[in-house]
Amino acid sequence: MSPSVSPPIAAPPGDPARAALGNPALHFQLEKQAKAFFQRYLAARPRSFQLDEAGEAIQDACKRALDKSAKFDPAKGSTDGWIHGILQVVCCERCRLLNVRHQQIPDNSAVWSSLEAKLDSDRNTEELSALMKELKDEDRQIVTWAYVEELSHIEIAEKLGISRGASRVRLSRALVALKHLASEKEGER
Amino acid sequence: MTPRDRLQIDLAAAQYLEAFEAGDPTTLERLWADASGDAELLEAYRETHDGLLEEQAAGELDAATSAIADAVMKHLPSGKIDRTATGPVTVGDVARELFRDTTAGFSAAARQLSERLRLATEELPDNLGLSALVAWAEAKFGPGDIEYWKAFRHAAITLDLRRSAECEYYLAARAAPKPEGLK
Repeated sequence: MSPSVSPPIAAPPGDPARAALGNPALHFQLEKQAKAFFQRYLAARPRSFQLDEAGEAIQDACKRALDKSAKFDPAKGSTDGWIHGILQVVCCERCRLLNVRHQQIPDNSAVWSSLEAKLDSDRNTEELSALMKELKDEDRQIVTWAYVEELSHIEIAEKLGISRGASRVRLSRALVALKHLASEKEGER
Repeated sequence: MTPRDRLQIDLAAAQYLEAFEAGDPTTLERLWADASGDAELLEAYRETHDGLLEEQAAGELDAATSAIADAVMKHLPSGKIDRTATGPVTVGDVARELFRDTTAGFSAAARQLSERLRLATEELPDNLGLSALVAWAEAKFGPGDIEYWKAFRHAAITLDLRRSAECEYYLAARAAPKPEGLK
């Protein structure tokens, strides 16, 4: 006699949050987000503590997503992005409870917009060239590959012999450095 | 995706990384709200998590490796740590090998040359004959004593052979598939 197998419990129709939470791929991504967060903020604590915090944060985020699922509006975006956002809030709250201090970044959206304009259209202006010269060699190289030679992330990752994620982080760090330089120059004027 | 779309996603991912590393909850909340309506942005943030986890893992591995190396050098000063290297042998690799073993007997000029070579990342030429090697190296790095170049060549050949042997060992040590009949 073959063992009876219960069919998976399907999410009720019209409940996208419950359906998304039943997807193991989303859980895997939530796990990476929470681990990356707690490994950074609780670096001084044992690894087991960081992993416990990550696991509890994911459970808490899933519970909140289920509680709030009626309020989720699919027209405004994907359930995955919405649940990642909830997890972020939970992670920050848990850190606050553990007295881990956070830094509030000043609103610098104007500097980011100005950098976007520089990189988008005036790639050869003296201003951008001057900023690029002040970057560290490795940062200048990756920015040049991305926006002058227009290499994809996969191509950059291959050139550097690293993964796509690591290449994304390196480019982001270079852009943050470029933004700081642009911000300093704006302040000097 | 147009270059402009790509730039916007890269800049948003950079803002996300900055806010993530600072732990700024307000900015993070805003950025996640943007990502819930944009699949490519969501993917970029997820790639950022992958990259950060890799960096953290690599940092831990480096810390563990240097702690072990420090302990070995402290308690076993006569020991030599063999680090498995990959890729072609460089001038810097040879100069470091030579420095470790024999530079004490060289002239001050040769030791200065050796210091410069230790930082060089150029690959060794294919021809390691003494006259060809000296001509190539002096054109690139300046003149040196013939005794130094002889020792350099000897170290280069030793290192090249050692690395080739390591490559062959790893090739031979690959897991072979089981014969059909044993499956």
